[in-house]
Amino acid sequence: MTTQALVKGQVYEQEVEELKRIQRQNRRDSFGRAWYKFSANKLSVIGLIMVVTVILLAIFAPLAAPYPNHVKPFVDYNNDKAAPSAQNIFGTDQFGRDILSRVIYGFRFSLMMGAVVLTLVVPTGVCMGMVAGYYQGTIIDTVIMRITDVFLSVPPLILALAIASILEPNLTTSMIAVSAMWWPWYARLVYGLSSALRTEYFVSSAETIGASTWHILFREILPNMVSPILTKMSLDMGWVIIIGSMLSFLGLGVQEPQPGLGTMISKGKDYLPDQWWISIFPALAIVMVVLGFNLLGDGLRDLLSAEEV
Amino acid sequence: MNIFNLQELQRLVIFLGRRLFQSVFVLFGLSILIFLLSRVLPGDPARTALGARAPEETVQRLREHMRLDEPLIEQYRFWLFNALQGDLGDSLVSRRPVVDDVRDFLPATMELVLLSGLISAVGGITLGTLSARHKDTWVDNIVRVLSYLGVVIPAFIVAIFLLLLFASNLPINLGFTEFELDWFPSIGRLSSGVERPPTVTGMFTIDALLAGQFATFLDALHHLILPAIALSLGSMAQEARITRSTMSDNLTKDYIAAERALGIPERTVMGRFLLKPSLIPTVSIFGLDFAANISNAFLVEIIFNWPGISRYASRAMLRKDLNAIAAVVLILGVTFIFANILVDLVVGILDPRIRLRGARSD
Amino acid sequence: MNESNGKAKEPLLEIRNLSVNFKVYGGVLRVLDGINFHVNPGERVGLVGETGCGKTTTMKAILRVLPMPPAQIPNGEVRFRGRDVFSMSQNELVRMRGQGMSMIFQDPTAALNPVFTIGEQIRTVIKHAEDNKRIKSEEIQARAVQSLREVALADPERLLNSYPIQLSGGMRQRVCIGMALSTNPELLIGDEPGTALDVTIQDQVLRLLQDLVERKGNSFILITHTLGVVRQMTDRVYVMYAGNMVEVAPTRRLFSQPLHPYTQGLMAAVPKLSGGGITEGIPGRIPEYKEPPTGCRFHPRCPHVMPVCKQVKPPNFNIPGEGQEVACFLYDEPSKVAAYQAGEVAAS
Repeated sequence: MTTQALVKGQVYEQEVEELKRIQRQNRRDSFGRAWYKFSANKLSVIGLIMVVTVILLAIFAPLAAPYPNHVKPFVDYNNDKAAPSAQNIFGTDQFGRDILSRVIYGFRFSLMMGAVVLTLVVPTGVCMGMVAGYYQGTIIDTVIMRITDVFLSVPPLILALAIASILEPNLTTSMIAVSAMWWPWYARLVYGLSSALRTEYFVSSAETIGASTWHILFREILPNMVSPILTKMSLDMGWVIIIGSMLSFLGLGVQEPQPGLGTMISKGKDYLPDQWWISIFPALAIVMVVLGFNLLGDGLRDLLSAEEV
Repeated sequence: MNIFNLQELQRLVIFLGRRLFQSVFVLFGLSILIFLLSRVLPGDPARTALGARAPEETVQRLREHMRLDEPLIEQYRFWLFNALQGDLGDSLVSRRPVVDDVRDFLPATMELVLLSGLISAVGGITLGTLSARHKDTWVDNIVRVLSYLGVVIPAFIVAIFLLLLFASNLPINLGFTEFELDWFPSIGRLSSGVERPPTVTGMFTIDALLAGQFATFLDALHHLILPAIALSLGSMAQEARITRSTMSDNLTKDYIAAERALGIPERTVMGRFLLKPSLIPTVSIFGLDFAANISNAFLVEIIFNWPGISRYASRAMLRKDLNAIAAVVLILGVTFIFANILVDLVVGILDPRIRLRGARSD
Repeated sequence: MNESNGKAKEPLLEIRNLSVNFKVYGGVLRVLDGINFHVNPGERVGLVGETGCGKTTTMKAILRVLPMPPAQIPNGEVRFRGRDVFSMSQNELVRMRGQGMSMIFQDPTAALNPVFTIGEQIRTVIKHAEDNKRIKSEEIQARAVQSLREVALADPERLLNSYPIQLSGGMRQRVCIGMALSTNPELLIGDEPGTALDVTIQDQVLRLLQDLVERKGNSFILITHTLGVVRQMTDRVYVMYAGNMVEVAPTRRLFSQPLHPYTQGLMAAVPKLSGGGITEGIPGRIPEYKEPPTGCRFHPRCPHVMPVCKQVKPPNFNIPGEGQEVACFLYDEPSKVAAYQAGEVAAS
């Protein structure tokens, strides 16, 4: 009896090992297949290259920028508003600072903005939406979703502006402000998903065998929402960066002399049309970052939505 | 839909009533949010409201007026009571009641946002339809590329480019020829020397037409058109994409095949039976586009020196003018809520499935 | 198949060598592969085959209502009343559809436009089926009411003001039939009418359809995968497999003497009330259309497969006697048919 059980146990363990091996193999295979599918779309690959380039430039900004000291208080009135040339590929601004260097450093702020906001927003919004969706029809649902509605009832930028302006205008507060207006979008997305999932058989069977709410929410429901959330995140990265640059354009984000891309456009627009390079190059830089993240996000969406089927 | 059908009308009214009822709660929540925003500030709201140079005596009087010594709930009750009577306090910047400021500046923004909404709806639906009808041809490809760029490039950057190209004396050099496209004014709502039309709506184009001042109308439109286009491109692109995808999806639906198979001519199938269901998702995002346009107006107004509510608000924000900020957030929130109700109403008229939800007869 | 009595039997609808491809992401699906098919005036023809074998595609291609960006028609000819359908102008096409032939779609929910009332849809159909464009709106309304009455729907006036979601599945199906018949078409195509409904309602719908067709004397194509229905309602049956016509015979003949191994399998798969319940099915599934099997598309599943089947697509072999044709190398010589009839099943 005992030996039998023991043997059974060993067999079981062997089976588990085997299953794990197959799982690993599958994961490798599916990664390969995913990459194959992703790379079939040239635009997604271009997007990936753009994003990686921007990230690398941001990380190695001190090495990549020709004049790293131009991002600190620096004035050179002998070389101000210089048109693009071999020394200053993107020209110089009203204080004679090299625009290329400032754009490269500007990527740092943009990426930090996107990363921090998503880190704050996604867990909050996902938890709120998931709980409200799972308890659909109860008071929890009503309270959470009415709060969400209130936040969504103000045009997004306006709320962020109001929050940022009431606090001190700088990068940190602008990140808080954008986060405060952004989580409801995730709450709403996840609410829809989880209220649909809660009636699925695997959830009700987990309930039947007495699984804890915690288990149901995080082990049953959450894993089934990963694809749409990831897709939204990759597309949102671009939007958060835009909103960030809008805030700094309005003077409520990154402050001079720090090189925020929005700040640079805002200051540079006073020199249009004659010294167009002061504002146009930072503008193109924003377009490039956002375009990159969108192309990448679309590629991911195609990939993930196709895998779901 | 036969709007004169009494039963249909009744359903629509019920639908609208339910929607309005929901909005009351949202408005109530919004007022709490705004109230809290204007009180969470570290420090003394009365001092902030009056500025650092105001005499202590005045500040104390305001403190009492705002009931800052009483519990928060009492303060809110008082604030709400005043707000409902149209008193949102004075602006620190203009030293006038903020409600008056809003009344002066809001129409300019609405004029801009409404025209850009019109441009984007007409343009977006037309382009989307073209693209879907000529799927995978060069027409489709051009529309797709343009709409992708339109979605990706933020409106304030579009505005800068448009300003540079069409409203400045920047010489454009094409190698063999050099020219300027200085077609549009870059500042304000009217040319200097042009009288503003008698105020009815506050929107100069409409007021000028109402007063029969055609020259003024043209001048106002001339000033309006470039910022409106700058504002509209993003939502136009969004709407074109949605129209294209719904329409090309609907083109493969069985009901289109069935309508064709039953001998309904192509023109009727396309212009009536395909168009109506395909417009629903597009119309549904008009509300979001309206919000995006209002947000983007903040920057576009600054770029084009457009004296609207957004420019007023961004100044207020930089000066921490709490009453003005609260008023602007409130008024734009309310506008947005009503815009959404309007959108829902139109969607309800277009789509019986929404109007009749839960009303299946068997 | 064209017998010697010539002109008298000029078919109403004739399809020759029709192929349809679907362009999809990463390849081309060869959904129809050289179909031949005809319907004589007044004839009731059945078209059977498993789900996904191309029955609906064939009919949509005939009516030229296939969504054409994914679909392509590389070759083939369709003639209706002797006129080439693929070269018709929009006007001729509109005239052919509706009055000439109309179709009842498989899923009545998908076939009704969700955002228009039943009345708006049926009135448009009636209006355009009328050559006289000055037809009065009262007249249209009366005919709309009449066509809903014909399909045994109560309170047609109210129904005309309803939207599809307000109706039950059975009512929608009746509306679709009424709409297809409202133009009084010469040829009516029924694509698995009622399959989307539960069995009792399906039965009612089919009986109604049978009644109507008999009364009006339209030619009729019935697409189905239910053999019992075919047996009751048709004169002649085509059997389709994976985009090929594999067999055609007068209905009685097909049921008494199915020749193609696929037809035989299909018959064997029908549960018999008298016998021992469900017998064996056909092993395997319909093949992928991306890379269909070479030669005869049925060969991977065929119990009698021969080497030739894997290489050559079998042509139609005429079986002498009652107008039966079968696309199978088992019957490439008349003697083999005789052998089959004598009871020796041909084996590889």
